[in-house]
Amino acid sequence: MAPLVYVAFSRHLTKHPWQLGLALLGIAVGVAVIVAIRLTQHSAFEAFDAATRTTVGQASHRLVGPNGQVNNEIYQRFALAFPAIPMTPVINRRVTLPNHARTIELLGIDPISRTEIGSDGRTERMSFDPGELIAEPYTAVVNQTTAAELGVQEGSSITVRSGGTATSLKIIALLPQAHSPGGIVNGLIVVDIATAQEVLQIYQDIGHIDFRIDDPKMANQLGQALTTDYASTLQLIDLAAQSLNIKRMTAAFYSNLNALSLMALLVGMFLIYNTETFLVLQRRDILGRLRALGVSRRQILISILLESSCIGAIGSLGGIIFGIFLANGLLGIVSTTINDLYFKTSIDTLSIAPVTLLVSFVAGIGATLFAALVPAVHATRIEPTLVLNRNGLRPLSIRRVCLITGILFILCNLLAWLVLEYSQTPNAGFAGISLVVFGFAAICPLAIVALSAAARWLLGSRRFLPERHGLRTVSVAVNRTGTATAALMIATAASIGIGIMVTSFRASVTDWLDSALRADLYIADAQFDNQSEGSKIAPEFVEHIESLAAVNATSTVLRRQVTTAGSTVRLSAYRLNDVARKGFSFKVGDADSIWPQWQDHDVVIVTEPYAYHQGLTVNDDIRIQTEAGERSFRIIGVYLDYASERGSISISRSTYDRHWQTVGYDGIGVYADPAVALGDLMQAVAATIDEDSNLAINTATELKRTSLEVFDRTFLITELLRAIAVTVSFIGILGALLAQQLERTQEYGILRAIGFTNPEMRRTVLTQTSLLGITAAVIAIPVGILMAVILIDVINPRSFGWTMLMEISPALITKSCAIALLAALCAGFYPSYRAARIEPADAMRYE
Amino acid sequence: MHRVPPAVSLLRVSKSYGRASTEQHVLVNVDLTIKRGEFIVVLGRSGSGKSTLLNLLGAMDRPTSGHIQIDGTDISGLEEGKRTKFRRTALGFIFQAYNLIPTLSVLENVQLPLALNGIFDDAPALQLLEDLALAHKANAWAEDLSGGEQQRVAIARALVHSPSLILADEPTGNLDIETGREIIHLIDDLARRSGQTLIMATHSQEVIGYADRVLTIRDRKLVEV
Repeated sequence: MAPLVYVAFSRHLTKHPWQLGLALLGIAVGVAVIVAIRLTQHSAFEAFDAATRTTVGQASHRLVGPNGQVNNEIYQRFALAFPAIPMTPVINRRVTLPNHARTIELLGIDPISRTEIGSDGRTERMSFDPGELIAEPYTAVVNQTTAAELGVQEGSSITVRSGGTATSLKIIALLPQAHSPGGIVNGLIVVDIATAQEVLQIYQDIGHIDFRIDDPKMANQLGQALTTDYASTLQLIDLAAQSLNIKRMTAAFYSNLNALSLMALLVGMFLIYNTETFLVLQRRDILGRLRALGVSRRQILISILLESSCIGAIGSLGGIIFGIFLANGLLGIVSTTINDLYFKTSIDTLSIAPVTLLVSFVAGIGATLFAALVPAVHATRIEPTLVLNRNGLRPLSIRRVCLITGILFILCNLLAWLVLEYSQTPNAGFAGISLVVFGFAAICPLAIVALSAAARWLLGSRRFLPERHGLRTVSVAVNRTGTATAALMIATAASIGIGIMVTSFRASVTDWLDSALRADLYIADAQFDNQSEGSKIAPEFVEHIESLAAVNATSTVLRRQVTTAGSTVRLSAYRLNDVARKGFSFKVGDADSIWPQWQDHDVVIVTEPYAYHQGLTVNDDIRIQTEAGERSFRIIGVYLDYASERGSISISRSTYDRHWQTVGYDGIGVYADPAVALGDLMQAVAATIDEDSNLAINTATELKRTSLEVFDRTFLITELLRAIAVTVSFIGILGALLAQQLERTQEYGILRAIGFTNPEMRRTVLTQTSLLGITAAVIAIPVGILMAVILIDVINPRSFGWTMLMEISPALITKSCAIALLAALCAGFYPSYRAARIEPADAMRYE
Repeated sequence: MHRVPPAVSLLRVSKSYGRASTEQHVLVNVDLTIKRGEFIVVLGRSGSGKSTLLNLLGAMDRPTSGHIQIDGTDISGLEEGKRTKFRRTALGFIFQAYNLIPTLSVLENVQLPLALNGIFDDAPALQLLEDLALAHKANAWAEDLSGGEQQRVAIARALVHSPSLILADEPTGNLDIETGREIIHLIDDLARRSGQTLIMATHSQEVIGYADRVLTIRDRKLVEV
């Protein structure tokens, strides 16, 4: 094809750089958000893998004991029984750094056997001789970043504390970071296993045994030996499968973020569609002249799609660069959320995945081409006779626009209903939202026509001529104004929908915390968190607390990981008083029948997410690995719980004690005597706690605040992405409306020529943009609420297993609609200023 | 002996717009034969159907009934793609509003019809610009030229690929009398030198002196004056 045809096209763009910029911005932002989310996810997984490599080495399987500990003798016995299998003992616990007011992971290794595990040709990750750790007791290594954070250097010492005992460790080497050869992860102290036993005071035990088993038959043999000799009290875990499961836990979290990034791309596509439509309209004369000279429809189509591909490619490249910067900014937020909710890992470096960049690049170009297809086809319909007749491109008739959009509305919503009704996946929920949004976006032109007619009727016939004229023209040009309005509507609806979801979620969590946190004070190991087990609170300490005059009652909890149906889950063993029991809100099952069975039968209650993910309900049995082997427990209740999306199982302490040997507790709830003030209770309890102890006391209010802080941190990234998508779409829409108004310069000149005054011109233009803003806001309200309904009733339960009550905030809706209206009004200011200043003579001459 | 077909032949050509009750007949049963190298002027008031006739001859519109043959090719039955290719090779257009491509330079505008026909040689375009005294403006933007200069570029563009038929729709309509005369002289001179058939729609009486035949549209029929 003649390159001059392309030149004729592309030069138009260079003469309108701000329009080109708008198109590039639209696609760049969409791609940037996708890149940022994917890269942070990739970095989190890379960091997790690096941490796994450091702690696991080349091991393929892990042997764990019932209390998170394995006796030394078992290790020796296995070493003798299976000499062909490389194995190594490991201790991995969190310890306190008293001089730094933080905790750190302590990894105790046996350098000799660990080298054997890694001696398959692949090099061990550590870049120094681990044997040095044995040569000198109480020595440790950390990586350079951790050393800098802790202010230590090679040769200096660091104090660690566990269970009230402090130990000084000498740093003998500073290793590189995990992503460098021979490096280890941040926040980790590596010591010899004997040193770890000294630090943790567990002289007879190790944490677990790691194996490298290359032959599956060998794994079976080992499994059989375990079943025979240890009555299923020891468990062999496939580390690769476990690692995959841990990563899978984040799937729902990332699917939400990916959906948000796709929304950003969708808004970008609308901007591209809008820009391409305008570019075609503006170039209709060129298109007509080219057609008259013999340029074929195919050549026009290819030219426009080629131009779009270039815009898509440049925009996507810009998006990738912006996305990498954005990912760097988001890394900290994502890291905090993953650490709060899923697994402990230190994501300190952005890991750039070329495949992610390539996929995002292709997605950007694909989205651009898709968005440009309709305007491109429209352009091929331009007839050369139009140039000669000077009639311009006739817009579609209003009746036809209404018919097409009405059909699209019905089809999209019908399809959305079918998808939501007959598919049970979270992705079907997102597809449903997209269809609903498209359906309502399609009726924007229809709504403009209807609202314009209604407004004209309301305004009467005499006094509001400029307004009536503005309303009339915006209605006639509905096929041009509809797209910008639809984009504005989508951004506003997303703002409303996600806003309602987050508000409702927060309100439900707040209600749950209010109900669940019934005690006045909570005592727990300060080191205890969702991913590790701290040291236990002694029963004597609980008895001592109960004996205090200020204390009316206590409740206790012991938490541990148990295995059921091949995966691990948190089991909470509760001793509950009557008040604490009222803190459980049952979704399935009746409290009156649950509590009488709770103490003395092999029964459990499970959280709503656990029941959802496992497909369980009341009267189902679950088999849990106990110290005496696998036992069956009947579910008697499903209760509301927002603590973990994976869910957990709860059991009475008396039932727990019938099957497990663990002594002690992880947390105590303290209930004050009604006559005692909270401050006095706090003083009395604090006085019982040893200064060296790791125990921390929190009031219910403090715990609630901390929990809500975690909640807000979790949704910070959602809010941030929503803000990016909405802000940029508003900027884009503002530009689109501006372009639309500037295109009417000649029309305004003629109005001025026939007698419209400057203020009347301003009123005409502002009426037009206001109508677009009002239309977008009016449609955005039901769409936003529908979005929230799907998010709350379909996507959240399917992703996390959580149900919540919807809370519609009128303030949120008002704010979102006001922003839409403001954006539309802002878009009208400059064109109205121009329209009012236009010289009629110039316009007439030009015409 | 092989019979050479006429340059243009219209056989009972009718054109109407609209549907049933609102149908508007612009041309009815028009017959016309134009020989090769003839300069035909079509006179008529605004709205008489001159532009419709040129659209039909330019393969940009289809007759409601009848046949149009150009150089022996019946263009009335051609499908869209073939009509486009026919315009590209056999026709040259000169419009009242010049209709140059504003995003191309003067030279590029003239090169365009050649490029569309797969000829990527600057020489014919440069030669024509030289003949039209526009060589020094070859790299200027078309929209930066005066009206007369723009129309000369349009003439160069219409002739550069040596079409057999040149259609000119009010080529002097936007120009002053002196420049208009100059343009008509140029078109006539260039077309006659290369033996091209020229059909010009105008309401200017001055053009009549250049024409071999003058036609007008009266009562939706084409009649010779």
